[in-house]
Amino acid sequence: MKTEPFILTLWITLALIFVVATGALLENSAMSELRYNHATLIHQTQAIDRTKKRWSAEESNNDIEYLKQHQSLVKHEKRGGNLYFEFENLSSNEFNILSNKILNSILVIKKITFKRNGESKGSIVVEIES
Amino acid sequence: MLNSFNIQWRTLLRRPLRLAYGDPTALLPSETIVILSPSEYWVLKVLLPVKTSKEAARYGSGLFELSGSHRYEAQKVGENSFILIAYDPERISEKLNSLPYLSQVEKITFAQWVFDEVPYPIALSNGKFLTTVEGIVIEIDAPYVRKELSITLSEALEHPKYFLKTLRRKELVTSAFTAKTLKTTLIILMILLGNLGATALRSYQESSHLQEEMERALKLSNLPETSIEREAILSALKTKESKQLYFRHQCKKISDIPIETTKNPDLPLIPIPPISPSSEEGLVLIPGSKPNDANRLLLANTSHIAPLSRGTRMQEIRYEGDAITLIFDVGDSSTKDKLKNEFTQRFKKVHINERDTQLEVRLP
Repeated sequence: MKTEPFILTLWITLALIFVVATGALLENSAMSELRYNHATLIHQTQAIDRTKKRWSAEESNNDIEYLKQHQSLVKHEKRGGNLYFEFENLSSNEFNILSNKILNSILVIKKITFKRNGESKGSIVVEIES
Repeated sequence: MLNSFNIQWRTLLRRPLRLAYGDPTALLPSETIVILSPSEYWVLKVLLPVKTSKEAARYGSGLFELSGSHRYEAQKVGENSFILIAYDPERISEKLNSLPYLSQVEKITFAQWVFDEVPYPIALSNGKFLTTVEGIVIEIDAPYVRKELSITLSEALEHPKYFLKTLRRKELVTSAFTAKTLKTTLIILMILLGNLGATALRSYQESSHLQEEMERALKLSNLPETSIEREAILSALKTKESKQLYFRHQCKKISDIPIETTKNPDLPLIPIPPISPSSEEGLVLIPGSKPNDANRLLLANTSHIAPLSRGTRMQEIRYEGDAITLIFDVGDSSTKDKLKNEFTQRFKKVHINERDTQLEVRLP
């Protein structure tokens, strides 16, 4: 008989715990989903930003300028979202440097043609994304 | 000897035990030990191959064949001879709780342990007698005892007892909640409740913070809200990157093929400028290439590998976004075969077309 008030309090506390625990469980479940969504968003945002930046025209600005100012450049124009370059009459070394420059860059090459003209001359036609 | 001395010494220090038998008529003080009537328990005298009463009590469940709620006690009465007692703690507890005069009593014992050495029948207030038959205390009706030899209960309890095996009343029903247990449980539950509440609050705050951060990230990046759309964008960018790197990788593989090229010794050697810092973030454009390495594509093949044969020239390399096409001028048919062989060995997918002195190789 003495324990009855305690038992009543115990039941009330248990009921409260049940309510709070259910709420906490639901909250935790929603929280886990939110954390996952947040982590995914951050990962995707960073990955997209990094890849875009790496292959951006700004990153290759020096290379594009180099192509534009090359002494053997015979044609240069903008085609849609691309830049078109034609280099003619390239000596062995010029050809070597220019092809190396293009292939070792992070220019987005849409089309490219390396061609031999005669014994020691060559031409390069390249279309890159701007 | 020493043991006997100890018992006597302790007897001097202790008060005799206060014992009560049968239904009381007044409230009994807490120090009173209530003696349970033989009708409240079962007794068995047995010979067991054990030395202590504790070991003997373990045989109780097997010997009495009672339900699992019963408990067992044993009393050693001789060499390997024991008196086993079986009792139902719940039943005894209920009985004690039903008698208000016993509300304060804390200890109980069995009639067996109190009266087993009394040589006379003990007359009880209910007209029955307590007597010992073959070492077992039983309660029987008057016709079965010699009344003239009997003594009263108060006479039987007159002789002071200082030591007696007893059971604690609160240990009878271990599963019952005591006030102390309940208080402790309540405190623990309160702490748990507080902890749960604090966790929920923290979780709510963190969730708000994450929501804000996500909104800010989306606003800054200008990306779609759904993860699937963002994944599609990322996948397209990765494909584009892989395509560019694959093209460079194929160029490197082509440059490794030993094709003879003509060098013009009259042309001055122009120092090759350092390549723009394009290898950030671990990006490898042409595997194995270094900034000052000569480009071994087309004209200036400086490879140490022996050329296939003189007169074989790469005329053109064409890339149009999906495949690389190479055109070679080939001197003779054996060189052509060697070249075809080189390509089929180095590339998994290759399409080769022959045209008189030319060989067209297509690498998808």
